[in-house]
Formats: sequence, C-alpha cells, structure tokens
Amino acid sequence: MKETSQATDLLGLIGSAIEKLKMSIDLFSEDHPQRGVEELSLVLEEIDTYLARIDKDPILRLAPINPSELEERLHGVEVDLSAVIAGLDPANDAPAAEP
Amino acid sequence: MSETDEKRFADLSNEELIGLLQDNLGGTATEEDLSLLREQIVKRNIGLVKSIALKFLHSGELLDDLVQAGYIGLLNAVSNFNLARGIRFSTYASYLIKGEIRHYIRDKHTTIRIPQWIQEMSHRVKQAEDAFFQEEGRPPTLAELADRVDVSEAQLIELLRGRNAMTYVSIDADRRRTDPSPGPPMLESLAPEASPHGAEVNLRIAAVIEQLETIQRQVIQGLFYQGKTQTQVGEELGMSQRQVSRMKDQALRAVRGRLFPEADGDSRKSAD
Repeated sequence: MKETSQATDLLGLIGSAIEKLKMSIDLFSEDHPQRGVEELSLVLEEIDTYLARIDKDPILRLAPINPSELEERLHGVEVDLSAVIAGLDPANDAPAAEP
Repeated sequence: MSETDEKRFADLSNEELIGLLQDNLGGTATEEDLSLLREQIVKRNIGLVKSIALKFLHSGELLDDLVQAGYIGLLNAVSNFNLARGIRFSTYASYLIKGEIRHYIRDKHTTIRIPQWIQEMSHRVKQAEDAFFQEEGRPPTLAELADRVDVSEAQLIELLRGRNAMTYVSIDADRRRTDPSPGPPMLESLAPEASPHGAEVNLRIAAVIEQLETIQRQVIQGLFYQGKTQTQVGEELGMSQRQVSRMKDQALRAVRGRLFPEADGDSRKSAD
C-alpha cells in the first residue's frame, strides 16, 4: 500500500491529485483495476487530510479563495471519485465504513 | 421524538439513521417521529445537494431551482436506499440527486415536443438504470440496461441518441460544449461490455481532473491579480512576509514544474 503524500497547500494537493488520477487512468487502461482503485483512494485521503487543515493554507488567503466554497467543490470531487470506486471495487459487497 | 433522541442521532451515520427509519425506530415510532428522522437525514445532506447543484449552474437555471430539484433526488434516496447493498448512502444519493437535476434541466430546455413513446421509453430506461444502480452499486452496461428494458442494444442506442438530440436542442452550443456532466443516461456513461474498466471509468476520472484543473486556474489567477498582500496574510497566519512569499513561490514553481517539466528543468540549469 502506498503512503499518502501530505500536500501542504491547495496547489500542491491539486498537483498531486491530478498526477494520481492520470496514473489511475493508465492503470485501468492496462487492466490493473485494483491498483487504479488504490490511486483513487489515495486522492480521497489527500483531500480529507487537506480539508482537515484548510484554514491554515496561506494560498487560499493570497488568492483569495472562499474556504467553504472550495470545501464544497472538493467534496464534489470526493463524491465523484467515490462513485467511480463504488462501481469498481468488489469490496463494496461488504458493508462500507463511515468516513 | 425526544431531545435525547435527537442528540443520539447526531452521532449516527447516514446508514445507521436510515436503518432506524426502515426499522420504524424499533417499531415504536409515530408518523411524526419518522418524519422528523427523515428531516434529520435530509438536513445533514443539504451540503451534498448544494455542491452537486453548483455543478449545473452552466445550464442557466437558478441555483435555488437546481437545489430544489436535487432535494427530490435526496428524498428518493432516503426512501429507496437499500442497506443490504453495502454501498455508501452519499454515493447512492449523489447519483439520484444528479439524475433529478438533469431531469429538471432537460424538462426546462425542451423546445421540440418529444414523442409519447420516447417519453415512456425514457421513463422506463431511467427506472431500470436507477434500480440497477440500487441493486448492483454501479451503473449498468449497455447490454445490461437493454436487457432490463427488454429492447436490443441497437434499439437502446437509437432511443438514447434520439432523446438526447431532442432534449438538449435548446441549450446553446457553448454550454453544451462546456457541460461537465452531459445528461443521463448518456451513451458515454454506459460501460462497454467487453471492457469493464474501460472508457467509462476513464471518462469519469478525466472529468474529475478537469474540475481540479479549473480550481487550479482560478487559484493561479487569484494569486496574480486578486489576492491580499503577503504582509496581510502573514499577519493573519502569524508568519513573516518572507515566509509567505517563499511559500507562494514554491507553490507556483511546483505548478510550473508540473505543467512545463522541460522548461522548468532548463530554468533550473540556467539558474545553476
């Protein structure tokens, strides 16, 4: 299992997430769905980690970006990724854990 | 429902609350209790409805109207969620919320009358798709959906093409081009039978990448044109102006490195 990288700011988070999402596309295309799902899960973890300390990100104040609006958009990303995982992951036959 | 109950519910997950609802609170609930419990589930998922509705603002509809349509999807999700499937409630609810909002937009933008038989078939397709998702926890393939509706795959493709052509005719070309979630059930959202992890999954991930790239563009634009001063931000966060400046430079350098890896390598070399 890979470790989640700890993006310290929004741009770092987005860069890392995009990289992993592109990697997951490659993995699904090469018929490695399990590894693809792992990459998607790592993105979800990174977003959760970032959201937990969103108030401390100076980039949001410099830009400036509204934290609650950003939070909703990142939740939207999480929802979309969860739906992809739900459609793929055989583990979904077992009860899912609450986030 | 007592105040104690409400406090107890606050600690429960969506799935646990729906479990209680389906169990009629252990058989002791009045209609009023069940209604309050339903309201509790809806309340805690309002943010989800809003975040999904925001994605459809490009349709030109008012956010409030989109949210209202989304509520219908949320209420349907509360009524129809099947705990036994083991998928997360938020996943199921998102699916139905998006469906209702798209349905609302299609209805509002329809300028050409849709033949009755297509309307009926569309309704059957939508019901079959929702039921499949509920049972299997994933969207159906084209073949699976055709089987459910009892038509051939070729007929289903024609039906979806015909309906999409008619229902999206009044939305202007720019909106259609930038629509991140074209309407359901689009052919593209059905997985090809031969490749369970094929185009459909990749399209959905690509759509997420687009969302993130949009946020990235807004942040970069904000950093150059709209932001607070580094001194102001430093004061707010208890950092020095120099620390803020360094952090901003690092973030932008990292973005540049990802977007233009070769140029970034060259600039580093010349800096050395």
